Amino acid sequence: MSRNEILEQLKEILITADERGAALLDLVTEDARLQEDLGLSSVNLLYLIIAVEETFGIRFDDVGVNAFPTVGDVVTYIEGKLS
Amino acid sequence: MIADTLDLYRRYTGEKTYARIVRYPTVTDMWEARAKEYASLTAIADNGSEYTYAQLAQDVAAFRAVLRDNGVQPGSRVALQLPNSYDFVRAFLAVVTFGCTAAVLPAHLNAQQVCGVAKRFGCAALVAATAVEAALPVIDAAQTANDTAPAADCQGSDGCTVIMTGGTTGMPKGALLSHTAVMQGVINSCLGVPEVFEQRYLLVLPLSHVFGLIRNLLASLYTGSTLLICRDNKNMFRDAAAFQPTIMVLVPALAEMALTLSKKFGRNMFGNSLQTIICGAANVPPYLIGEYAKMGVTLYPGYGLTESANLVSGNPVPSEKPASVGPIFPEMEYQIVDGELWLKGKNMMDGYVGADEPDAYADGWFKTGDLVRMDDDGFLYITGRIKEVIVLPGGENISPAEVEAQFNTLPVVQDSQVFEDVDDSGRHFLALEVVPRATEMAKLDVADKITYLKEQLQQINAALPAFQRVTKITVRDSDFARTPSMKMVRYKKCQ
Repeated sequence: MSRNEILEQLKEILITADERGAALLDLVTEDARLQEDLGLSSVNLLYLIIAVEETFGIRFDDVGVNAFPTVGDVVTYIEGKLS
Repeated sequence: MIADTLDLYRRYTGEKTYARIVRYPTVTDMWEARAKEYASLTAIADNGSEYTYAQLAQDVAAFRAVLRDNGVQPGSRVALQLPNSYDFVRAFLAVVTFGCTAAVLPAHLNAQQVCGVAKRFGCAALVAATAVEAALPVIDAAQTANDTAPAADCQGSDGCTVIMTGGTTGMPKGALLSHTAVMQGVINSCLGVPEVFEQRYLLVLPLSHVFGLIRNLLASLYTGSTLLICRDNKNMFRDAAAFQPTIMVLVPALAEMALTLSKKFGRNMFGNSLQTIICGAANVPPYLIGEYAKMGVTLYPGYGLTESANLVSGNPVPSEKPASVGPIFPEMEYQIVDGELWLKGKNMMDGYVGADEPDAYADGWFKTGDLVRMDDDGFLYITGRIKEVIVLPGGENISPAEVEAQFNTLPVVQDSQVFEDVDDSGRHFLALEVVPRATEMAKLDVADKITYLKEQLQQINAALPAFQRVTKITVRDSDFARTPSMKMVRYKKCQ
């Protein structure tokens, strides 16, 4: 799965992460910071992690929910787990 | 007024369950009795291990010996700073049954903060999972002893626990709860919920919080249930899949997150055994009740405070009155003064420790700071916080939560905030901001969804009493700022 494909699936998750939907999508770039730029709360981050695990069939078994400053960091982690 | 609700709660609890509710004067008495009664049942499941009530009782008695060997004296206060774990349960029960008061400190406090709080709370020792440099004796929670120490005699009026509460003064303080208060809180956990004995609880709330400690842990032990401790909330659904909980105690933000995930992945993420959710510690959006009912889960909203040792009320008929937190539990004394709920009762704290709050009481009544109304059936509705009241230039008092509740009835509204704003000319006015619910917005079959939403909001606005109407409506594209406990941060634009 390419990096861009992972990002697109991540966007699908983010549109339900905190109910802002499409409005949030416009903000999602690899450089966007999850908390500062996207405004994700601690529960939103928990949602993101769990939904990513379900969607990609991976486990965030060695990191916490606050381990990813940016969207790109999440993509990199998923990429590493899938490879 | 004394809440005359025993018959009502008895009816909704059901005779079979109600007959099993036994009063114990102290947590020590309760634990000694339940440990024998349920000896062979699993009390705690944690980190891959299961512990029966008998095993836990043995480990608790051994940890009392650890306390004794470390010079802890019955009657003293002992701080606990431990993550959710079997060690927490063992240490808490040991401290309390040794005749000490357990001050349960949140896991997020750093070493310096722990020492400061423990000192202000007058603690003689600290039980911790890691080595902490402290000005008071520190006991390793993993320490064991070769012998055991007996439980101490104690009275209902003795201190049982101190639970930290944010309060309103900025200075962290603790609510001192007696054995009587804690046991009443445990009894209240059983009222109005028919399936409450011998259940399977999945613990996701911190044990340093009243809802986690009393409604979750102690209610679980009281009812002969099994408590699976989820050590990391990102694993809660994996834990749920393996454990198949029948009951969960949740704050609304977690209940909502689980609901959204369940919809997204087409299955109940907590598993098909889940029958009951106890939901409180913040306002419960009524739509959650209907959504969970579709999955066969009854979500009971309740209202309580740290100062009241768990819930003050619980709604036994959520589908009939989804916006209510239920009738006040039996025998509690209450009065509603200028809209504010004042309380007295066995479950109320003995006061704060660590900081003064002189305005907390009036004539012996605890002033909750919560604005409420009660319907003709005695069901309580939270309409706002007293400090949130907006006083308009005309003198009208506006409770934002009461107005917001009207806008929140729209399924397409996720959350809303009514606040006082001021324009360039200095004119004060009421404004509304809403966060739309994306899943409902997606279903709308209209060209301009934002305009449609604003029209819907305007219709509700027009139906409000004139003084409650907002003059500016904004649809946000992001959530409101939230406190660590997920409460909405309120604007203070005019203060």
